[in-house]
Amino acid sequence: MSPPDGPVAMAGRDAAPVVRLTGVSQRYRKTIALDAVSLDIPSGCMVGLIGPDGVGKSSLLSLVAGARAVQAGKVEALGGDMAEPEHRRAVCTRIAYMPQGLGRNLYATLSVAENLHFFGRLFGPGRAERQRRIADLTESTGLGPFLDRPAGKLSSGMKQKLGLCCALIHDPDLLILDEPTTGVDPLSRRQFWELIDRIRQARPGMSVVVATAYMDEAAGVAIEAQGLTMRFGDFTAVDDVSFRIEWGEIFGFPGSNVCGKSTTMKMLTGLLQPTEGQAWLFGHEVDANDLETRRRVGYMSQAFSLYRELTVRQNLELHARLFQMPEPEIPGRIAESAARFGLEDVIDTLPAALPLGQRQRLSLAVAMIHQPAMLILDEPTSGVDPVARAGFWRIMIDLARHDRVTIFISTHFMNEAEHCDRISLMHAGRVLVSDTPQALVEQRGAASLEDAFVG
Amino acid sequence: MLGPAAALPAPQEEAPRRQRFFDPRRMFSYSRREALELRRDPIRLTLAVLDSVILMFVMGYGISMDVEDLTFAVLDRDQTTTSRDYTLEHSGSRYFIEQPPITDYADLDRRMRAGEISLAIEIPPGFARDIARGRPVQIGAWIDGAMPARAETVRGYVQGMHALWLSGRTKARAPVNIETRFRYNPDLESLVAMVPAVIPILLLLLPAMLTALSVVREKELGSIVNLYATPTTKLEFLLGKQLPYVVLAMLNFLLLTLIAVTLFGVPLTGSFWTLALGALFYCFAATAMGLLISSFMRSQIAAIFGTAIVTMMPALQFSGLLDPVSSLEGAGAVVGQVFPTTHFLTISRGVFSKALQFGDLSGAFIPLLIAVPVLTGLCVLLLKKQDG
Repeated sequence: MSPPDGPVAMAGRDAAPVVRLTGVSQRYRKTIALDAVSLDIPSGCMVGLIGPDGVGKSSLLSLVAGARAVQAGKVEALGGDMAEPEHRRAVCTRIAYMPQGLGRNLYATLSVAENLHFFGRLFGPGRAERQRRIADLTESTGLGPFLDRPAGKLSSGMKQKLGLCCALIHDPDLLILDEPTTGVDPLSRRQFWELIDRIRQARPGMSVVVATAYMDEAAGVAIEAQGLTMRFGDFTAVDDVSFRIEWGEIFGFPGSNVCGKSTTMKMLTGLLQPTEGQAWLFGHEVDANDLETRRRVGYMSQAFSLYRELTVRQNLELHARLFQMPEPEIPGRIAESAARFGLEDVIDTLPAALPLGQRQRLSLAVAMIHQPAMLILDEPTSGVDPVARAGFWRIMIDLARHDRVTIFISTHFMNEAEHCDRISLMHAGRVLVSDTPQALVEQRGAASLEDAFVG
Repeated sequence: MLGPAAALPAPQEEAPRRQRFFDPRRMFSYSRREALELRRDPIRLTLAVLDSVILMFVMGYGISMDVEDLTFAVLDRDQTTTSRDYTLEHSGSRYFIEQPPITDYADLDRRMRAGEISLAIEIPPGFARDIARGRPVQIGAWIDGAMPARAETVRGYVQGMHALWLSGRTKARAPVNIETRFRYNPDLESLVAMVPAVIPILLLLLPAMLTALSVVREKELGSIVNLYATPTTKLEFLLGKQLPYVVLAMLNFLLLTLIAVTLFGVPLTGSFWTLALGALFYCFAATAMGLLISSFMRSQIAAIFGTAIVTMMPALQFSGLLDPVSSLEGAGAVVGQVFPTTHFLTISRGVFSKALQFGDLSGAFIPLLIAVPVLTGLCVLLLKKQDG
C-alpha cells in the first residue's frame, strides 16, 4: 500500500493503546520540540505522524522508543512508564526503533550480514534462530544477494531495507520508523511500504508508528504553471499557459514543432526565466538556483545532452557526480541503471557508436541517474524507429506506474499521446485544450486522436 | 496518513522476557563489531601501530638528559702553571669544550648573554701563591641559569671536577674519599633510562585516544542509539568496546619491547612475564581512561585533544618520568601516587634495568589492579543509557 491514503483517527478500536503520551513536553535549550502533547496510539495498527521537519516528530518517537530521556509528562509504551529503567529494560526487546537518517544506526564498513548478526546478538535469539531470521528477512527484502556488501556501499533504498531488517531481527511488537523513506527513490519507497504491509500481515499483532515529512507523498500537485508567458522581442513564444500535473501522472504535450512546447518546458526547469507568470515544482516556485528542487527533476532534451568523448559508464558517472550523489553509491546505481535501461552490453562504448534507440535510452538513464521524482522530456522520441519508441514507452510507463515518477513529455507523434494520462494541445504558444486523450477523442467525435487534432 | 489495515488484534501480552544485567554475548557482539571496523580501517590501524613506533624513536632519542659538550671560558687573573692546570682539568673532560679566554667582566657578560658560553670560571690573582701557602682561596664559577635543571647539572660537574682536582693535589692527606658508582645504568646513558619510561607513556596515549575515539565516533555518526534502544547494558557496551583496543595495545607493547631490545639495545634484565602482566593491567587502565574521557566529549577532534592533554599532563609531570614521585608535593603528589603510569613505570624500569621479578614488584601491581575497576565503574556511572 502507499502509506498516505487513510485517516489518522482509528475510531472504534477498543484495545488498550500501545502508546500513550500525557502532557509530554521536550525542549532543547530554548527550542521547544514538544509542548504538552497528549496522544493515544492504538495497538495493532499502522499510525502515521506527518509533518515537515522540525515539528518534533523525531523527539516524540525517540521518547516512545526509550532512546531519549523524558523531561516532562508521561510516556507509556507497551503497558508501562518509559521513564522507569526497569520497564525500559523489560520492553526494549519488544520495541524496534529505526531512527531518522538513512542507515544512521548501521555500520558502514560492516557487511549486510555482519550488521544483521550484530543486532541479532544484542537481542539474543540463539545462533540457529538468528540465522533463520536473517535468511527470512534478507530473502523477503531482496537483500539476499548482497549479504557480503558493506552497508556503506548500498544504494539508499537497500540501506533502508537493511535498517528495517536490523530493526525486525527480534520480532518486535512495536515498530517505530522515523522518516524511513526520506532520501529514497520512489521505487524503493513503494517497495518499502509493500514490505511493511507483508510484515504486518505475517505479524498482525505488531503496531507500527511512522513519521514522514513527505507531504507530497500524500497526494498533490507535482507541477503547476500559472499564466506562463515568454516573449522574445515582439514574438510571443508562449502565451498565458496554465496547467497542473498530478503526482505520478504522465502528462503529454503533443503537437507541431514550433508551438512553444520546448520553451514552456525550459521555463519549468528554470532554464528560461518567464517574462510573465509563475511555475511551481512540488510546491516550490521554480528557481534555477534551487538545487534541492533540481535534484528531484530529471531533464532530457531533444538534443540528448551526452558527452561524445565519454563512454556510457562515464556519462552516467559524470551526471551522478553533478547531482552530488554520495560517491560510494554511484557504482551500484550505475549497475542498476544499466540493467534497467538495457545498457549492460554497451557500458564501455562511446555514445556515438550506439544506434539511436540505445542512445535515447542512455539519455533517459542519464536523466534518471539521481532518481528524480519528476522527468521532463522534450521530444525524446524524435528520429527513433517505431520499435525503439515502443520500448521506450514501456520504460516510461513502468517508471510512472511503479516508481510514481511524474512524467511531463512533449512529442510530435500524435499516436504517442495515447500513452499519456492527460494531454494539452498547444498551438502558436497557447494551450488550446487539456484533457485525457479519450475525452478529447469523444469531444471531437473523431475516430482517433490524430483525427481529433487535425479536425 | 497511514490507513489501518483490516481489524487487527492488540499485541499479545507476553510476560516480559527476563533481561540479564550482564550478557557476555552482547558484550562480544560489540567487541566483534569494533574489531571488524578497526580491521577495515587501515589508516586508523596503521597509525595506531606506526605512531607509537615513531614516537618511541622521537622520545627515546629526543628527551636526552645528558649534559655534554658544554662551552666554557676562563678569566684567568693568575696566569700561573697552577691556574692553567686547574683549567686543563675542565677542558680535558668530555663534558666541557673550552672557548677563548675571557678578558674582563664586560666580555664575560656579553658572551654569556649571547649564549656563547654556559660556564665562566674566574681564577683570582695570587691563586697559585695562596694555595702553596695554604691560605683559603675562592674560585668564581658563573653558570647560565636560564635552564635551572641544566644549570644544576653544570654545578654538579664543576663541583665534581673541583673535588677531583683537589684530591689530585692532596691525595696523600685525604683520610676519607667518596667513590661513587652508578648502578643499573653504569654509564648514566639517557637511552637506557628513557626507553623503559617511554613505553608506559606510549601505551597510555594511543590506546586511550583510540578508545575515546571509538565511543565519540558512535556519538557523531548516530549509531550510539543502538546502545539506547537495545537491551545492551552500559557495562557490556563499555567492556565490549574496550577489549579490541586492549588487544591492540598489547600487540603494541610486544612491538615496542622488541624494538627496545633489538634496535635500541636496551637490555631486558628482569622477568618478561612480569612486564607483560603489568602491561596487560596497564592497557586495561589506559583504555578505561579513554572511555572515561569519551563521556565528556561529543566530537572526535575534542576527543583527540582532550585525551592527549588529560593523559599526557599527569604522565609527563607526576608519574616519575623525569622527577621521582617522592619529590612531588601537594596535589601533584596525590596524582602521582594514583596515576597508573607511575606504577607501570616502576614495573617497566624495574624489569628492564633492575632485573626485578614479580615478587619485587608486587607493590606496583596493587594500585594498577585497583585502578581498572575504579575507572570502569566511573565510566558506567557517567555513560548515559538515554539521549538528552
